[in-house]
Amino acid sequence: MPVLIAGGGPVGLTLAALLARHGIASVVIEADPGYCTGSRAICVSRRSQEILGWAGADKPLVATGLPWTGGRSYWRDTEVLRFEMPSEATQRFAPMINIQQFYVEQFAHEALLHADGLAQVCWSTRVTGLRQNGESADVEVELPQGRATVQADHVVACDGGRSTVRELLGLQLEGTQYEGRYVIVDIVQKTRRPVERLAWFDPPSNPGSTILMHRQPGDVWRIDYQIRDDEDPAQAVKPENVLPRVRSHLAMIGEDAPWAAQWISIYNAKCLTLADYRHGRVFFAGDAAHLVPIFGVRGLNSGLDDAGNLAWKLASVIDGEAPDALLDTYSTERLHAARENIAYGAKSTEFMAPPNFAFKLMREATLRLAVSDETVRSLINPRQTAPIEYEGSPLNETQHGEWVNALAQPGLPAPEALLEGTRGSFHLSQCFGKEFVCLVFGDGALPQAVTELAGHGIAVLDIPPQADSLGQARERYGLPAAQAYGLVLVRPDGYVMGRWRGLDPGPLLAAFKKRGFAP
Amino acid sequence: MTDDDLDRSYSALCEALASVGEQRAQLFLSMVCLSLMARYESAADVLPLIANVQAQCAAEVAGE
Repeated sequence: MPVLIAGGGPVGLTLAALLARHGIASVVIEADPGYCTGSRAICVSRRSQEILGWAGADKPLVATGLPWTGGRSYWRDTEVLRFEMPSEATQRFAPMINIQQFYVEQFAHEALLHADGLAQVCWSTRVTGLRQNGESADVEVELPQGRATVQADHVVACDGGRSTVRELLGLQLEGTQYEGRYVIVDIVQKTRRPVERLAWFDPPSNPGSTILMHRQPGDVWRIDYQIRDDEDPAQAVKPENVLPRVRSHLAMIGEDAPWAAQWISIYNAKCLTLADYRHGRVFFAGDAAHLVPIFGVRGLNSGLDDAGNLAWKLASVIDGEAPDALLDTYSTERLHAARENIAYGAKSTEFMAPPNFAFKLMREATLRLAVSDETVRSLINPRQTAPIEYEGSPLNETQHGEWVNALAQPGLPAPEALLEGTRGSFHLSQCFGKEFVCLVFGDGALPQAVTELAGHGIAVLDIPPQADSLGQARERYGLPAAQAYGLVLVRPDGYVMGRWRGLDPGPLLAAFKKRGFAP
Repeated sequence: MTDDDLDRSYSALCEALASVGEQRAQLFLSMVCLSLMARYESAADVLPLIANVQAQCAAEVAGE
């Protein structure tokens, strides 16, 4: 078996679907009998929607999820912040959608079922042992019908915060845990409110607490609220302690339709990561690799980015189109991303669950001042997830020539653009996710050397000015003028690897080959 | 001041305040406040800020 994926949560299932798209077979080992229960990770970012699109799961995702673009925060009963995420009429996906995690699992699973039998999911199956040598990894699994050993070329641990694989390898997460605890409640209640992120600090309904509310599909509200430091977590999740607080808050905001609780859990912020995401033939992704605070919704979203980063690298190495060292860059790039996510998550946590008197006092000051002084309001902003730049990655190629902005510099996610094709309009991000793509900013017939890039495993996407009728691509990729020429090499995970002015593909090919790519 | 710079300064202030300790918090914050105030061009820049905060505090006391 080329790839064994431990864990059939959203990250493991998406990775299997992405690998299948690259033609790589995998088996997913999941201890549970099916999809998860409870809403769990509910905010799926635009970047994650793109990745799920590459996996073939975007259509049901978008049809089911609730899109949103902003939110508001209140101190007591006064609005102190209104924020908007970047959003435009021509976009492919909303900046964020709300959807229960089990839907993401279901849609990723359904996508991989369409993949010609390349991916298989074994439910109710546990990983119980793992040995690796230079050639392969032997994974012992316990199926409902008995034990078996699976020989895999590569193992990816997507088995969550309490990863069995991590334990079997004797590895530990490093970092900090915060004390402040949040109770998480799903309730069913009809509402006419718009979909947005709502936050209350010290609301009259629950003085001293902080409350978050998100709408989800199926008339479900997700409510998160902070409990007092002296409350016993086991008691805090009991319905008799949860329901009165929810009732009080719903009454305060005027939501009076009948409601019922569906799922209750508890959470405290953690900033933890492994020191390396590659251990020989074993890789770690998602919560098995890193745990980030809930605030800013970087958990599932960073896990999906892990899958997007790893899928094409595994496929390239398995197909013999890239050296094994490419897999090391998975760890360097995603570890860097995890550290950035942890830094942002820690900042959000320091505001949402202040760890000491100083952060508490300064938050009190910020919220009060924000009523009349807009200059401090940005401090209340939840710092929502955004794709992380792979700064300093060995895959980045120094950019050449004059570019007027840094939006598409090597190491950054390739900007989106709406383009006109012969069969109608399409988004650039639809062209990513499978192979390297060379964006060609030219005018007129392509030089033969450029068209020949296809023979080197690089898809060529010609973007003449008439295809870029809105000018989005030229502007966002930093071309100094509509007539300016340039080549941009985009990795299969939609990150910019390098960019060159002019239309000579020689330096681009040299950079490609220097890194050992030889499809 | 950009949002990012405000964010950095806020965190640094919180960290420093935490290390100074709750007992000397008032003194610490007063010193920081004075130091920032002294860097304004004139009292005309500072007095409205003080008045605003004073009004807000008074309103909160009145509401309790």
